[in-house]
Amino acid sequence: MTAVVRFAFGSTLRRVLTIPLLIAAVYFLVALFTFYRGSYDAPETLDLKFEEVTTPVSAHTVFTEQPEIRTGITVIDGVHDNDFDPIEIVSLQSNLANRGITVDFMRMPTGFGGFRRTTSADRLELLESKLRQAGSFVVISPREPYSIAENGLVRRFVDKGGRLLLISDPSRTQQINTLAEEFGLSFQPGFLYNQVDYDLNHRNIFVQDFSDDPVTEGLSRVVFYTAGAIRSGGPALAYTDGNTFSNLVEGIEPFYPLTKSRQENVLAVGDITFMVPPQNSILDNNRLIANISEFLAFSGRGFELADFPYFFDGPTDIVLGNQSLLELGAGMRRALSSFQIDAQVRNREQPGEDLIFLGLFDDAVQAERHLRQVGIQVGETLRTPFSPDLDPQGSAIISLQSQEDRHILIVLADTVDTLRDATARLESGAFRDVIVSEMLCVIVPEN
Amino acid sequence: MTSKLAALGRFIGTWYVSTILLIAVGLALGSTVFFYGYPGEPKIGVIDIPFTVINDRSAFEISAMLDYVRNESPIKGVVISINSPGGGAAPSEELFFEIVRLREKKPVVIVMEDLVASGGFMMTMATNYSMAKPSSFVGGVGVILSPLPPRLPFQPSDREGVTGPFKLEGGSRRRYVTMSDQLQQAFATIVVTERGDKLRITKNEILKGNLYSGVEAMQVGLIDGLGSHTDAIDKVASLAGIANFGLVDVNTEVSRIFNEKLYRINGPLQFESGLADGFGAAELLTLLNGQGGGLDEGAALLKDLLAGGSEALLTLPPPGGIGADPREALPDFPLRIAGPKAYYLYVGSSE
Repeated sequence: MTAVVRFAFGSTLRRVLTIPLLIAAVYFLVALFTFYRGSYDAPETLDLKFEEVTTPVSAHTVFTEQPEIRTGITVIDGVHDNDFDPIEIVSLQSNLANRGITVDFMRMPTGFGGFRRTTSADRLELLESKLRQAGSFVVISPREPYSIAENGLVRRFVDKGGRLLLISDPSRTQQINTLAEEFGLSFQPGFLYNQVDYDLNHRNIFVQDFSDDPVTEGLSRVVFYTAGAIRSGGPALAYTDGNTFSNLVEGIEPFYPLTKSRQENVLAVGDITFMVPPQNSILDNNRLIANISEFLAFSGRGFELADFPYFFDGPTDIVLGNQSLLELGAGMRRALSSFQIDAQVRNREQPGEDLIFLGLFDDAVQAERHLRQVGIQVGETLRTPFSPDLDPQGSAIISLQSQEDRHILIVLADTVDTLRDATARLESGAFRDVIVSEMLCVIVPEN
Repeated sequence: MTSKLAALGRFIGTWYVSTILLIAVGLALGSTVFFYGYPGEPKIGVIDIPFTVINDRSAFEISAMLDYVRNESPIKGVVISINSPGGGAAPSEELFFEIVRLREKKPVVIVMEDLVASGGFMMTMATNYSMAKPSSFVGGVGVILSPLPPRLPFQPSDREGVTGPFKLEGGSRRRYVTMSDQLQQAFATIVVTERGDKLRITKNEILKGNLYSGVEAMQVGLIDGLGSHTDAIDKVASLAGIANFGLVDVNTEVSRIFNEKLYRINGPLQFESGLADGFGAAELLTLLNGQGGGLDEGAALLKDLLAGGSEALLTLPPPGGIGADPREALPDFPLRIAGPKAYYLYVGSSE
């Protein structure tokens, strides 16, 4: 330092050159220290391993079957502003068709086709008429609630053995509980998700734990694409695993997206999207759809007289008490053919085939075997288990017997005219006004 | 007169006077080099992003500000104040990568306001240090792909010749869902990689898309700290190793530069044509097109009008060019241009 100072003050030239530079350097250092206390060490730029991003994709599978061919009608609700497109259930429909089941969309007739909003009275009447013919009934995401009266009709249908399928998912409006709760079922709000094991998206959950049931037969893994949980007093058919949660319920508990009610013939599914193409062909989804179709097709529902003529599901014999009734027999055959019921007028009944006996009280002896079984006696008075003794004059009775798969309808009347009136009531549905029990209708003359 | 100058020379020539003068020269030299040369008085650039949905336009503006602070050498560190629910996926990713580029050169501290979600939160991943208020809502990691193609494919049409089964839609619905999962996984990769060991929640927990309060976000390691703008400025100064710094309002500076450029373009036009202030070049070109009967005629008319001035205006894109409404860009195209878009966006609960 001393040497520098001595050098700087050594001569004028040195002084002129050195002092400003020295001062400038000192100033620079002081300023540097004043403003800068360190330097910036940029962090290492990390390699973002986007190439390791993978999405789990489940495989499509091929499912073939040769189902047993049956007859019957599955009615699908379309009058409660149902939140689905018929195309979404095309796989279910085709599975039902493969089983010989006719699918009937319940909708009010319109001049332009398609669905139409209806009044509750319209709906009730339509529902009653449709359930008369149905072996199974499908309700998908109704946006309008079921009334108490409608619930009663469906309850009665189920009690008679009709099969009921309830489907909804959390992405659709939830009015299904207005009907589901009638059977101890409750579709829960919120959707299920699994962030560990899923197909494409956390909302597409796998289900691989199943209870033993025809509906879950042969299933090892299915995918639901927007499933909700269902609470039920009956047996759960499918359980989610420990990594599946509901966006509403954070606690760990198994959820049931597929369950039955306490009654075996009510099935609830908390997802519709699994049957929408192409999701229907992922893993065992098609098998599940086939099993659900089998559930719907294998209806053992019982029929009652009010369900005329839908309890006839095969060749039906029309046997007449005497030749004067031939015109009435032909008219009955014509009426049944409009319901696609194959009926023939015969001189005697064929064993095992459904039967309609049309006769006068005088002809009752020909049907005595069947009348005895239901406790009807025809003589001076007309005696039935469900009415006081009646004067046969001007009267008619319509009786139904169900024997395993056979249905026997007996129509007896005092005169040909009374019999004509009785058959006319059958064809028009007016007989339902004079039903005295599930299996008997009695027509008496007006005073 | 001569004798006075000689006396002044002798006075300056005395050693103490000459030394003082030389010191003054030295001080002037030192300050000039320091302040006007290298390294200059340090400054911290402050970028304010008030509630902003990130889209092409807002991302362009933010990118311009990031570009400014990256290239201004006196700016030694950057504080970004942000309030954003996120927005488009690609613009959000653009800003993420831009901030990563900036971070390689200068420290960046982000301070979050009310809501910093999704694409906005992705930006915070690129910074050196992220701060929020205790009551801020941050996070929302995930993607929304909307609208998805319908569950059942479109009906084929005889009106268009289309090659490839998915040429119109770009893929099946399942494919789009797959892509949405890829995007969220990529987002999670960014979060997990950038937060590293600081993160105290699992990737799956992040992917739920939850918002976190500032307090919780700090507890789970999604942010580095809680504090105010001043804290953020102190932090970035500490990272940059500077003191006694000045602040630069980057929004104002970039706006000023933009206005200067705009004036350079519009000024001669207004002067030469007498057009009112605010009459944009694009509108002028539209007007000229209408009068001249076409783009070429309009450009020729404009050239005559300007007659040697404002050549830059002639390079402006005409209407229907970059950024134009697609319906204008392809007026004769028979199909509507639409389709799924990816958003890193927090929508919020609806009523």
